[in-house]
Amino acid sequence: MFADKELGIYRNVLFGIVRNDMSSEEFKEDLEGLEVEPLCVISITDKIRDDVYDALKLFEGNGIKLKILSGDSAKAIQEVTNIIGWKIKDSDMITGNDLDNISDEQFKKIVMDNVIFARLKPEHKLRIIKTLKKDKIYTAMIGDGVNDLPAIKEADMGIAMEEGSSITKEVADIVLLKNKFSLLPSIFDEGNKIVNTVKSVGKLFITKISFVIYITLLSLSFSGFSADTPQSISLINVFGIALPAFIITVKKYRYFPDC
Amino acid sequence: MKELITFVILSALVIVVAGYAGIYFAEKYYAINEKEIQMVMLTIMIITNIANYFSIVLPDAGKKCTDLSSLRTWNFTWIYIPAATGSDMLMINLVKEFYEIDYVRPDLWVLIMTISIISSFILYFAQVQI
Repeated sequence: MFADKELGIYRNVLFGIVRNDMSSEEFKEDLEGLEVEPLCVISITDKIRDDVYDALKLFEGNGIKLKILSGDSAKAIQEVTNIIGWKIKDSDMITGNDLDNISDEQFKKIVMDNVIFARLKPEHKLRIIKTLKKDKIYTAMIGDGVNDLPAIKEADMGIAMEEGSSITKEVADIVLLKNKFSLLPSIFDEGNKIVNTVKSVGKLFITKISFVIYITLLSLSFSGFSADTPQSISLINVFGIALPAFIITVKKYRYFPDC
Repeated sequence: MKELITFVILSALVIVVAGYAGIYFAEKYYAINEKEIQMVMLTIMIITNIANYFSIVLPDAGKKCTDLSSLRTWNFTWIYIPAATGSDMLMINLVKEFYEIDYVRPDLWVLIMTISIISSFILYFAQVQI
């Protein structure tokens, strides 16, 4: 009915008078037999956040693959993705029904090959996150509703919106204040800086330890000459570790094309 | 973890091999005393260590924004090189004395720079490939 009226792209709430003599329990099971006299329809659509473009650019620029897991209809998602410039064909859309009653292997293939998933139930989202994690893929799940809760909890990094449900914020690792997607680049940036600084300094230290061990073993094995006197090693420490580690820590290298 | 171990093993190996290659060629082609051999090895290892630092920093600094200011910071190196080339300033003398840096003959610098540059390129390109 909604599709006929071109309302398929919205979330629709129908208010009407039920004409059958059916209890609420009965018509939950038999929606087809329900006779309703419509009074009004409220159609709700999502507005694209202005800062989502920056976040998408950041993800694309850093090789982060996106998947949209939505409870909305395929049409509604298609409409939204068209606005952000993603041309998605009907054949590229996977719905919750497609994911029911399939083997783990088939499920994994569908999850890996597709980007947009519509009409998902919370258990579908959870299974998708679990499948990705099983394949050693680091996952971050962004959501706001209670239906995102299991997936946010399961993901390596759960991100909730400030306006989301309180229980979702409770289990999330990060809550985006004022629902700002534009905060994601700076969060990502900060995390990258910390991880890369620690990794780089670690590399310097372990390299120095390793080559001192090599030199010591070589000079012991062959009774040969070596430069591993305390002064030499401390001089190598200055140029090989102290100064580089200081520069790496102070410079805080940025990892983005716009730096 | 695998990347870290590969990096460390490769770097340490190149630095040590470069140092010992310096000793080998210095003994083979130059009349050289023990202190000078030590200085050759030490200088090669210091320069290769600096290349090791660049092999960590430059690939990560962003493909479009190589941070050249870090290269400028390596002006610190000019403390060591004058010391090893016999400069006689007060600060240089203090550094020389503290770290027991000796004068390195100009002809040995050819060997040192040749081995250092070759090993630095090997180190840098090997690490970037990883």
